[in-house]
Amino acid sequence: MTRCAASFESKTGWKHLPHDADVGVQGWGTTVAQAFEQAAHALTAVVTHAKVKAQLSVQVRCEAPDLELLFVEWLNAVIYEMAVRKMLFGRFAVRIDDGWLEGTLWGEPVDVARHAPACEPKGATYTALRVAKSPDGIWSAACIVDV
Amino acid sequence: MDLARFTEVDPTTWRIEPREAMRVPAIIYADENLIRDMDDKVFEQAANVATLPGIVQASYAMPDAHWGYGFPIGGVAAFDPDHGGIVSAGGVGFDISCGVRTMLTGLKVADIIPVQKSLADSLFRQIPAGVGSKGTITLDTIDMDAMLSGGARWAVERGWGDRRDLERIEEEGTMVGAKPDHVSERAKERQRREMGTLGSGNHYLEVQAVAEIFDAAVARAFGLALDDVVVTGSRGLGHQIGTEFLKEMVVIAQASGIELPDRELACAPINSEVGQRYLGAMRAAINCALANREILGQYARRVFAHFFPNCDLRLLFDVSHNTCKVEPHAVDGKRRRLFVHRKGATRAFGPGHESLPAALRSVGQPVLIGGSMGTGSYILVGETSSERKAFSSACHGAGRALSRHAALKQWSGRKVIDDLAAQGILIRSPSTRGVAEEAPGAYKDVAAVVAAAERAGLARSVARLRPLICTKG
Repeated sequence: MTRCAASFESKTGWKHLPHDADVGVQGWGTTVAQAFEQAAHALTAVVTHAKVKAQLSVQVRCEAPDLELLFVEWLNAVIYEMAVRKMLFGRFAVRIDDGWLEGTLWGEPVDVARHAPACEPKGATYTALRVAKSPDGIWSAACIVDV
Repeated sequence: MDLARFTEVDPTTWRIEPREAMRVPAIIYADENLIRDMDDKVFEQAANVATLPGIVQASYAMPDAHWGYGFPIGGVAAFDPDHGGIVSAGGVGFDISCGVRTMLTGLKVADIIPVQKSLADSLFRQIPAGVGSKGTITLDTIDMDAMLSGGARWAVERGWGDRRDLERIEEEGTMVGAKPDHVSERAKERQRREMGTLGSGNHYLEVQAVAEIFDAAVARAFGLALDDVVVTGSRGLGHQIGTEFLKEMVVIAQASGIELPDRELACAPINSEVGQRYLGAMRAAINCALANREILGQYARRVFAHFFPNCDLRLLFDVSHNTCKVEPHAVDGKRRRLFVHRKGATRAFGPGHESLPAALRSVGQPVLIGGSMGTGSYILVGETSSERKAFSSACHGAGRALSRHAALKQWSGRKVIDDLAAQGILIRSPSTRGVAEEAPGAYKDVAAVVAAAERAGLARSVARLRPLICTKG
């Protein structure tokens, strides 16, 4: 089943990109921040297809010299919070300003019975890494995540 | 892949001749069918590795190679520090020292069958597996550093292991040169509550029976007989270290004037501050993985002791897949000290190698090849010829044939579990979707991979194992 939250014609959404051993995540939106938020939804969907409740919020902050490296930093920040707090996140708010990203993640502790987590993202990679704006003004952010 | 892109050296050796920035050739060991089915990305990635400074002889890919990130999974490359050689975080990967161990139970299939179901349930309950699972061990700052320095030896000293295991683990259980100070607080935080957990995705613990023996003498030396039951499992760590150094090495590579065809090949000269710092941290992560597998082995012992009070699980061997190790190798008749990267590949020392324990030295190192859930696994032995072929390396598994995405489209986890149960294989997992993603059909034919490794002279088959119980995260 191709998991995606919207068809590519829609202005915001995410999908998984096939990769032999790992999985690609792609998010898109009318701003780069929205593309990053959507890609984080794709990251959560690597782990679970169940609904994730927005019970708790976590703040993250990261920095990188360009948007593509910032995207990897962002996904890695989400992966880190998932791993250390044993949480899943279902809502994201991103603000990008001058090479800095501030993000808020809303989620809940992993409930193994309800979320039935399939696998664990280990880290975002620079493979198939691309953050770009299409001619019709839609931003897209994608890379392969090691699982 | 199109075979016309290669020089066929022999039926299992395919060479990509150096072109453009490649410093050496790239060599893929596989039979014609395996190489035809490999993704073009393996070609590209193996060729990219051949462009890195200080690479010796060739960039290699094992018969189970598939598209990775930076290096292909199944990639092997050695670098010489005296010739500008590099160390690459992408060449080791995120799951540093992810590996496999096999333990001999001394039991027969007939002993297992009456308790198979409750043994499966018990292993699944007692050994934390999967996302969100919690171990019972929490490390404080002092214990964390002791674990990162001591590896499996630390686990044994803390009562989570058996001293007899140590000689059956690579590096005798402790990777020297580990520098816990070079591991960030964030990386340590990520590990603090994870000791004694199995992980998820392709991490597993299986109870298996010896189904077939190909080399009776070596099987005897390994303590394997038909119908014997063994326990095999994998787990690793080092994600945060990989993440952090990858980021740093992108900058350093650029500053050192290293042209990277792919940012994921991020690397630093071995003789540089960052290179040395990475090696210290990576070796600490190796110790973490060795300690964790020792603890998991001890947990398995406890569960077996409950069902079989006189059962004594003996470690056959413990191998690591994602590492960079300093090893002496003969190149053009000269002994050179090389930094051998193995990403999704197994070290496979042949008979006589000085690092093997006395009991195994005359036969060679056990090479443990985990197959998929349904198809079973293989035990091979290192061959002397493997040093010349690929710096004493062999394949590490079946290798994926289909993406998780495609596997999920094709199989239902529930049906996979039911079909395997009908064959006498019990699966325990928190996620049916996870089972579908790891369905046997999502992997290459492990028998074909092993046959190709054998024909290529990388390692020799000793025994085939069939699964009885599989728990996975």
